This record gives sequence, structure tokens and C-alpha cells, in this order.
Amino acid sequence: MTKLLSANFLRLWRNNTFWGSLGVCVGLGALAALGEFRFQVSLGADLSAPEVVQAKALLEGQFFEYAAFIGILAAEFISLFIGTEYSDGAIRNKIVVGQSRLSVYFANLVTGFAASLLCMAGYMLSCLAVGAPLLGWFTKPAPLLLYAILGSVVMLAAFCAIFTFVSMNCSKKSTSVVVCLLGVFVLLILAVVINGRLEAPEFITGYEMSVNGEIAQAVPEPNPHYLTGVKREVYQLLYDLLPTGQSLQYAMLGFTDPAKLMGLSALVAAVFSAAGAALFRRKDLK
Amino acid sequence: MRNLLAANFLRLRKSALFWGLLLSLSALGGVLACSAARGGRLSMDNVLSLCPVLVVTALSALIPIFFGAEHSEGTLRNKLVPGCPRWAVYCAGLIAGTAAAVLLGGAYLLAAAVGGPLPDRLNGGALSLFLLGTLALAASSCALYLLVTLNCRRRSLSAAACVLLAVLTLLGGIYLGDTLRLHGETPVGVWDEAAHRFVWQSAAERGLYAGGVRRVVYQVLYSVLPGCQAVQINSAMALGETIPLRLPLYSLAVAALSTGIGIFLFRRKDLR
Repeated sequence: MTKLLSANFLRLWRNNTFWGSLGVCVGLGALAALGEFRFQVSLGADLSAPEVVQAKALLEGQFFEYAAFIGILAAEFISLFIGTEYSDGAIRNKIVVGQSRLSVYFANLVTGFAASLLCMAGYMLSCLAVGAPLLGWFTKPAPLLLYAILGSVVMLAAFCAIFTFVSMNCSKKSTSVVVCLLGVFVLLILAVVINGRLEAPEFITGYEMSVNGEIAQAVPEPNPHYLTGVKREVYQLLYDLLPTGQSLQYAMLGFTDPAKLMGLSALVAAVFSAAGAALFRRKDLK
Repeated sequence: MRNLLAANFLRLRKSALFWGLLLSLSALGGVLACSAARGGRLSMDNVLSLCPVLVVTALSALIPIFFGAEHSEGTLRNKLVPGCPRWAVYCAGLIAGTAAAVLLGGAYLLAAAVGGPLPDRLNGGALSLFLLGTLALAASSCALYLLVTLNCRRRSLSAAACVLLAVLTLLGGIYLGDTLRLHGETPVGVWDEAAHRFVWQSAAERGLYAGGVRRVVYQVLYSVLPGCQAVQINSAMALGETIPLRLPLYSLAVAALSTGIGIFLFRRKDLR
């Protein structure tokens, strides 16, 4: 396993996709902070005043944005990295020299996870380096920020487990790239739709124009699309279970039960890793 | 050319990916239309409006995998060896890809029409414009994906590029549409933390209004990118509006331009 990991990390070091992904993350982190600063300046906000920084929590708003797109980068990187091993026959070579299939699988999982973590760290560091001097320091409670960082790491593990599952059990590199990328976008859209249903207000308050032209609030009416009972619980569970649902929650810092989210992510990672390893053991590598 | 087309269509008929996409889109169209007919959240207009978005996304998977295989298996070289010109190989690919897009979109629309009644407002003219817009969009998407696929030797890279191009232009289209819809004086609600209530400001005051050169660039991108066009057709259909004639014209211009660039690059490409 140590040899497999060192070989993988050597390949990672020379991999253009990895350096490209890392560059994208670092660039996006800096751009996010810079964009927010320019936006606030255009609104005339005085960012040197501590009470403004305290009220707006600008750095947090940008710092956790990585959670929304890190799954897309992981999908692209992992499917290309593992797919190359397939197409070049490197996986077969590793097994021929006596490595077990399980070690090959988990070495690839660890490498994909480590590369994604480095991309995530690249975003955080560049956002912090550019954002802290321009937007001020964090203002939200430290435990909340720690939970968000820790939770997004576990969420990333779930993403990596899913993409490794697909890439290690699909011998065609282009097919695994398409499945992983389209899959993550479909799951992202699903998470946005579920979030929209969960965020629907219980009552709708319209506005009415009276005879003399004044606009007044109408009597609130129950929203027919408001989710209740078991249906709401199922939607909430799905939103918490999907890694893309979690990514939206971490990006917006809108989570209420971080322990539950981390537990569900760990469960997804464990289930997909076990299923992927079991399938890979029986796979015909030709 | 005829032989090349026959070969492409034969391969298409035997492609599991093509049949998988065709069946998936038919099933999706039928299920969504049935749900709309039973008074679900989506109306029949919404169901039909999804067609261009689905075709653009499905093509981003089909074109690089289908034509990328020609690169990796050496079929492209084999087609050139007996004397077929490169432009003919390229154009045969474009025609087969557009035909596949028509079949995919047609299967979705047919299943939707069987699943539920078409909206009354969709009379001859509006329906023709919608179909024309979707067809032109399919041709322009196909031309762009083919430009990437036939000029990139690595199938996986072209697959990643096409999928990212499709999805990012779709997401970009949603953003550009929202931004361009805002005028300087459009009121925007902003949550005031201190007062705990919404206050209204104009889009220009909030820095949300895109003006000057930025607006021109946004409008050009919104008009020409396939994903953005799919979003425009989607919005127009969902709002019960007629598709403007300029959209299919822009699509055909994009298709012609990208085919020209693609053939130029492909003629100079070293196929080893």
C-alpha cells in the first residue's frame, strides 16, 4: 500500500490536470474575495469600520464558496486520473506485480481525496490571503467555522468515494468522465430543487391595491406547496444525505446539525467504498 | 460522402449510448407530460421547454464519446486512407450528429405529446418557431462539440470539455438572463440586518445593473452560446412567449462559423 501510494503521489506531482485544478481553485479563491470587495466598494460600504465588517460577515460569505464547486473539480480530476491508469494498463501492471486489488482501490481513493483536499486548501488559503486584508477577519463563532471546515472535508470524502466507485469500475475513461461530471451536475440541480421545496414559506402574503390606490398587505394564505409531515422529513433527509445538498449547506453556512451531516457523509463514503471495492475485486481487467 | 454518412448512421444504430439516451429522454418526456396532465407542479409548457436544455446536455455526452472513438480506434485515419477528403469526413460527422440530436429531441417531444395534451396557444406558427429554434440549436451545439472532439486527440479530455461547456453555458445563461432582465431602475429587495426588514433599492444602486461595454458583451454571449440559447428558448416557452426568429438565425451562424474553424483546424491536424 505504501508503494502504491508513493507511486500515485509521484504521478499526481506530474499530473497536469491536478495542477490545473489547483490553479483554478487558487484563482477562484482570490477572485471571489476581490469580487466581493469591489462589489462592496461600488455600494459605498466602509470596510474599515469594524461594525460594518461584523454585520456583513463578508469573508465567511466567500471563504466557504468552495463547497459549492469542489465536487465538480473532484469529478473531473478523479475520473481522468484513474481513467488514465486503466487506459495505460497501469492497474493491470500493479496487480501483476502482486499488489492486491483492495490496496489498488484504496490507494486510488486516498490519492483522489488528497488531491481534492489540496485543491480545497488552495481555495481557502488564497481567499484568506486576499480576503482578510480587504474584507476583514471572520466574525462568525469559531465552532461554527470549524464544523463547516470539518464537515466539508467529510463531504469531500463522500464525493471522492462516489467518483472512485464509478472510475474504478468503468474501464472506459471517457465514459467515466461523462458519468461523473453529468452525475455531479444532476445531483447539484436535484439539491437546488429540494432546497427550493424546503425553503417554500408556510404562508403566502400577497399585496392588494385598495380603491384609493394604496398598497396594503393581504391576509396570509396557506401555501399549497409547503411540505409537511413525512414528505418534509423525506426531503430533508435527502437534502442532508446528498453530498451536493451538503455542499449547498456548507457554502451558505446554513446547516443546523453538523454531526448528522458528517455522519451521513461518512455513511455515503463507507457504502460507496465498500461497494466499489467489492465490484472491483470481481472485475475482469482484460 | 454518401459512404461516410452510411457508415456513421450504421455506427449510430449500433451505439448503446445513443439508444440509452433515446430511451432515457423518451421516458423522461412521457413521465413529465403525464405528471403535467395530472396537474403536477410543471405545466405542459414547462415540459416542452426542457427539450432544448436536454438535447444540448445529451449531445455533450454523445458527440465526444461517439466521434472520439473514431480518433482512438484509428477509424478517422482509415477513412482518409482510401481517399475521402477531410472536409467530407468532418461534414459527415456534423450531419450524423445533428440527425442524432433531432432523433433525441424528437423522441422527447413525441413522448411528451403522447403523455399529455399540447398547450392550446402552441399553434402552427409558435410550434414551428419552437421546433426551428431547437433544431438550429442542436446544429450549433453539435458543430461546437464536433470542433472540440475532432481536434482533440484525447477522447476523455474532449468529453470533459464538452460536458463542462454545456453545463457552464447553461448555468451562465441563467445568470446572464437574470442580469440582462434588470434595468437600472428595477427595484431590488435587500434585507436590512439592523432594521430586520426588506428595503427597496434600484438595481443600479445595488451594483446589479450591467451597463455599457459589459452589457454588450453579456448580450453577445447570451445570444450566441448554445447553453444560453437553450435557456432563452426555455424561458420563452415557460412564459408562454413566441421564440424570436433571431435565435435560430444566430444558432445557424454559430454552426457555420464553428464548422468553418473546425474544418480549417482538422485539415491541418496531424492524425499520426
